[in-house]
Amino acid sequence: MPSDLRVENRTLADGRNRVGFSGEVDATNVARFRESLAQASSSGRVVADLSNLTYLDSAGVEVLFDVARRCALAVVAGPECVVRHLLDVVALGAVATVLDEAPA
Amino acid sequence: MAGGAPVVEHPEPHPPVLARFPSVRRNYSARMPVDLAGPAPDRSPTPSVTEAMEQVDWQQTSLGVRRDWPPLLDAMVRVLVGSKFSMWMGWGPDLTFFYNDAYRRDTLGVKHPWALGRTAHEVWEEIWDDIGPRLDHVRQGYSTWDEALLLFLERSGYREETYHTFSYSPITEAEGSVAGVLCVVTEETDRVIGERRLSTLRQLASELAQTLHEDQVFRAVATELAKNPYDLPFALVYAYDGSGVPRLACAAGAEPGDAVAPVVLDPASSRSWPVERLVGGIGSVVVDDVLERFGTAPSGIWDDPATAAVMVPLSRQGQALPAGFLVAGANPYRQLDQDSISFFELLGGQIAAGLANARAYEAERRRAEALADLDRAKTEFFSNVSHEFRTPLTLILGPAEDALSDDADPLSPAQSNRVELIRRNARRLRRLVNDMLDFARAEGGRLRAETEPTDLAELTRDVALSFGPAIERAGLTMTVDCPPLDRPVHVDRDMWDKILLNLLSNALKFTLEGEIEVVLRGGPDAAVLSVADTGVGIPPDELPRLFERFYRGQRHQARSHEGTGIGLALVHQFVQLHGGTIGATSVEGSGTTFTVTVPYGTRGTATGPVQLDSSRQSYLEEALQWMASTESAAPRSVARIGRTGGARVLVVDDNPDMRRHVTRILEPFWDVSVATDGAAALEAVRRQRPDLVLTDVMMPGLDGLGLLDALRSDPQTATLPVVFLSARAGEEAAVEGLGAGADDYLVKPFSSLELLARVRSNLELAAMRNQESAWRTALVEALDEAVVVLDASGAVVEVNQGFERILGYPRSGLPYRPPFPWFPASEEAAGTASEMEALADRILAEGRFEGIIGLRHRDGRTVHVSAVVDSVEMAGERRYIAAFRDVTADLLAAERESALAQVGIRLAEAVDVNEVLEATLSELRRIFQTSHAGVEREAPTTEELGEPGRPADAGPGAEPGPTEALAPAVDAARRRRQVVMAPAPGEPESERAMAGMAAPLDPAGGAGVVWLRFERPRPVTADERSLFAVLSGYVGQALRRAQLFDDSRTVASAMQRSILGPTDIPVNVAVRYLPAVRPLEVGGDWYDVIELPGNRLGIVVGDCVGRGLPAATVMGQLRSACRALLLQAQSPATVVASLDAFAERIPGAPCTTVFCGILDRASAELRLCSAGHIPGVLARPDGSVELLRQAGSVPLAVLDGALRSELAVRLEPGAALVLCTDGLVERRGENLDVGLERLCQVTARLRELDPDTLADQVLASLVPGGQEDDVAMVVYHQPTGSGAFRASVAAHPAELAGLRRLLEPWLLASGASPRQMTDILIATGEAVSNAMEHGYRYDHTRRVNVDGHVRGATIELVVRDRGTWRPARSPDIERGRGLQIMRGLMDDVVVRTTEGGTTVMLKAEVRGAV
Repeated sequence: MPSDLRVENRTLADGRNRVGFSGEVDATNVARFRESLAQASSSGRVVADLSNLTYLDSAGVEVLFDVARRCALAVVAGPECVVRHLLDVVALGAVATVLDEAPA
Repeated sequence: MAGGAPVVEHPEPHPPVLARFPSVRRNYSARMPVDLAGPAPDRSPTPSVTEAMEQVDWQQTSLGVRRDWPPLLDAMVRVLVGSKFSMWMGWGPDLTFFYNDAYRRDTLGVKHPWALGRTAHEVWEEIWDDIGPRLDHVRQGYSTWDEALLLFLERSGYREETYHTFSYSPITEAEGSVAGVLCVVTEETDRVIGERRLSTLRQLASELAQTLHEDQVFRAVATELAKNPYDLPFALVYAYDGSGVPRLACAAGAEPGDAVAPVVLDPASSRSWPVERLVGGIGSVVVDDVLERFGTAPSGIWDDPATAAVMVPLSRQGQALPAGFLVAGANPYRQLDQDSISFFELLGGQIAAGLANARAYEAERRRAEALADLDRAKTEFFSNVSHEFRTPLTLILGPAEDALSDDADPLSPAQSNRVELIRRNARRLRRLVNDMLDFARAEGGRLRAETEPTDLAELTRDVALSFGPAIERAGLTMTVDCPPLDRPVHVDRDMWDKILLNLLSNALKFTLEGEIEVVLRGGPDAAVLSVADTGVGIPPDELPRLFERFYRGQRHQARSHEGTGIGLALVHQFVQLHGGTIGATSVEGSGTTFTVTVPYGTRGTATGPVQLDSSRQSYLEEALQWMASTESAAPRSVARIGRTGGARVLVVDDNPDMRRHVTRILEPFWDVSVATDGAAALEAVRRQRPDLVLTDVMMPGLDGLGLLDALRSDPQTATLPVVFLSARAGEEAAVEGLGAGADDYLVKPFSSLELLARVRSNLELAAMRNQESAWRTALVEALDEAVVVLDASGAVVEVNQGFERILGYPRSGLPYRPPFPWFPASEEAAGTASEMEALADRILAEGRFEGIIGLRHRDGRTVHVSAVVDSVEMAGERRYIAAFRDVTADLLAAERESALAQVGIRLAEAVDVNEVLEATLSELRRIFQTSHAGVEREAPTTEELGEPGRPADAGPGAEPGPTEALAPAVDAARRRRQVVMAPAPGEPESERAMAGMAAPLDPAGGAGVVWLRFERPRPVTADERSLFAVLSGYVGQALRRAQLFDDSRTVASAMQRSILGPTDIPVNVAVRYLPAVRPLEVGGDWYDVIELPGNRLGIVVGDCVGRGLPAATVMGQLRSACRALLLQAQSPATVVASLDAFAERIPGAPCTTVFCGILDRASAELRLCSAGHIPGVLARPDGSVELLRQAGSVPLAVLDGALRSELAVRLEPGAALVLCTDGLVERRGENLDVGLERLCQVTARLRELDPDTLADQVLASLVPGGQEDDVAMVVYHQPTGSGAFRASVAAHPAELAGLRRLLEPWLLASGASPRQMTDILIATGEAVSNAMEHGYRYDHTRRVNVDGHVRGATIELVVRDRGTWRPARSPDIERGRGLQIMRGLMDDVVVRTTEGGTTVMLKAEVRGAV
């Protein structure tokens, strides 16, 4: 049974798709993570809101990097987000925009 | 004599002999006092008593002088002396002895005159023991009487045997005192001895009168003489043997061989009887020096031995030499006087007479024997003579007749006449011989009339009429006046024939013209026959001599002058043998009448078959001869003997002439072969079986009877007709021959016609018999059934074609003896073989049987037959006849019906593919009696399932696998979609032996083939073929069904597993589901472990009622409902209560038990509610264990409005909780509590293990061999908090989340902040993922271990795997990233990889709430 992951899609004012994830992303559901981001990033721009993620493993990080390669990725992971440290460690900021809070 | 004293018989019994007197011989003359001696015995005559009395000096006696004697004494003396009767008297206390002359003369003897005046004691000292007591008795006043008392007196100078009759009486004074004793005595000696001797003579005479043989004589002599040992102390009889030596023939009083009784007298020896003294003299010889001769001698009854003996010769009348002599020992107590000698001579005379009689008798007997021998010799002579005569006669008669009747080569008239002459005379000679023999026998008294009740009138008429032709020819008339008699007459027919024929013949001979009259009348006691003629008559002086033997009358005119003169004599004999009379009256010139009277008789004496009537023929012919001889030869009554086919006749005779003769007779009609004796005949018969054997009886070596015996005892020739040719006439010979088994009997001499007729009739008879037999054989052969004949010993002696066909054993193998080859062999089926033997024994004993039995065909297959056996007595022997029908096909058909039915049943029961195949193959094996059968599915590999009966040690030499011999058949079956036979290698493809067969499993489709191989190549019937086809069709269908079943079961199992299987079980939880071993169905048990919001865990275990899909369906619905309820509810009680309502609405759901628990991880509190379920087991870390029984209640939907309560339990770190369904703890026959206790024990013991291991061990411990019911189990292990952390996860990504759940509280409890906790989680997660991926490549049977420690302020986590990390094929960016992540998130990362696995150590300083 895949780990618990909730996905929430919204369109931002500037037309970008914002995909909000809550729960955990690990090998069991990383496909879904990827899928959701892939769909949302069809326009070439996507905002991944990871504020409510409680777990993110290397597979998930890989997906982020992947998305960042193909399109403009903005990742929302505030200081209170528990996976922010991970993102810092992997230096995602180098390829994507890491935001503290979600844009409107 | 005196007054009042009663006469009393002496009370003591008188011993007949015996006085034991000392043998005293006194010389009385020597003892006599000189002065009283008186004239000595050899001097002048002794004085009289009176004179002697004067001479006695009475003064010396106790009586004193005479004048002083008392008057009584005087008186007594006077009386005494004056009496002429012998008396003595004893007076006074010492019984002074007085006697008279008579006494002196009779008794006293030489003791006179010495005795006078002595005391009685002195006088009779030698007998004082006897008379003393008597005298004492008398002195008391009694009288005594003794009669013929034996007293040994010594009155004659020697001890003498005497007998006296005497009386003692007391002489009493007036006042009654006894003054003396008077004795009156008579001597009886002569009488007694005389009587004794006479008695001996009488007895001996009497006994001898009854003896016949010498040894009887001697025995009688010894016996009788031994009875008188008084007069004959011993007696011996010597008889002279053939050489004149005297031998002891008998002895009395002595044993042969004793001194006096030597067995043989040796004349040279002195210790022998003086035989020489007998020679010449005719008188007896006294031998008085017996003791000197022999030293000892018997004493008979006496004490002293005999001293003398007398030899008496036993003379023979008319012979000089006596037969022997008697030696008679003399009584030692008597003088050997003339009386004695006479006695012995009389004895001798009697003995001699006895011997003479015996010898005479002996001689007589021998004479009689000699006569008998002579008689026998005569009879034998006659038999031999007859044989000798008859054979040449046959050989004269036969050829003569043949010559005369030979149509092919007839004789010229001249020769014919000559030969006719020969024939006629040969005939006559034959008759003469017969008559002579008859007559001789009659005279010897050996002829007996064999009478039987006869209608004499008919017989007489018959005979007379047979003579008719001759009488006609003679120009005479015959009147036969024989009205039937009122009762049968017992006559010997043959004799009657001869009587009548003789009379008629005579009548004819002597009657030239006129008539012959035969009259038969029945008188009151006898039948009277008269034959009267008007012939020349018989002169009166010849009449008396008419019936004399050989007397021939001087009659002038007769047709023939032939005749031996025996005829009438024979007639006379015959008539006499009947007890009748014959007489003749005649008037010369007028005629003669013979009258025969024969009594009716009462009982026939005939024992055998009636004699043949050939005599009539010969008489007739002879008579006919007397007619004009100008006529041509007698009409040839050659019967036309038809041929009896090409029959073969074997002629056996030791006489070559005879053989040739018979052969010539028979040759024209049949194939004739010859043999010279019985042995040669047997050979010939064995070589080529003739149709008839004609054999002589008397032959050297194996004679006719022996040949017959041999033929009859061989079943091949037992029915061969045998005809005897014998010279032995007479019924007894015929009887013997026919009794021995001969079919017919011909007496020599026989005519050719007779022979031919006999042979023909016997051949015809045999042919008819054979025809019968052939008909019977054809009938039996035509039967479809087998017919078997067994003899008394149980051996098969006859079979028909049906037998050969049904069992395959040929007739040529007869006889078949038990044990029969068609009985089942013992090695095949021991039980059956011995059953068959027992059955066979029973059949032989009871003689009947009806039933079905299994036999074995020659080619080995079983043949079932329906048999009927019966027994019959044939010729005294028991024979068994069995008939049986082959019912194998019927039986097998019935078997197959049932086999099919059985297969059908078994297949219907078979559930899965394996069962179907197993059932099918075992049935096939059973039906076709082979152990090799298998099924080939699509793939080339054959499934040859279990071959029972195949030897365990089937080594390299074992038969090749089925595929080799049958492969082509299997292929063909698959291709052609039909049953294919596999011929045995080397056999042409015919109906014969098949190695096996194959059939497609399902003609419609599918590529499977079922094959079977026979134990031994054998033919396959059409029935078997079709059966196999049917069975294989069954199998195909069954396989398909089974396949479907298997599939559906797989589906059901898969479904249930899909229902049951959560994959995201937290790491501190283990779940197990074990379906029951059999019947391998899905069950109604379930478990559930759900993550609930709020860091809670739902744990459920449930058990629905029933099994299979219905239960699984219910279970699924309940499970889902429970899940849903759990997600929403806060308390398990609420969940269960809602489930109650839910369960009510689902069919089959009520009575489901369920255990529902909600664990709050944060507070480690478990709240639970049970609906009738097995209580959970909680093992605390301290080792205590408890059953969570509370909050039990009832199963679902059982009780309306059941109150559901719940229990809250705190789970200490390290506690273990086990929930299960009853399959784990319930065992048949065991109290549930026992199982629960067991579970408690195990759980407590294993509580520290990780849940998976704990779960496995619990199962291994409680249901080691599998369980009967489904088992669902959940094991929960409460994490141990900030102590050590320990977890092991299966190498599956799904496990990661569970691991995180476990780590989280521990990390928090260890002091990490939520942010750090996440970091550590991510780092650990990476390590674990790597281990899963690279170490185990996601082999979820492998486990990754995670251990955590807090050392001081450092959290340390170790991730271990035992996998082999493959070097990365491509630069592992992920791995690099993973490592980067780990290093980034942890303070220290150490990775160590060995061949045994990889260890990743992660360390982080504890950072609190940052």
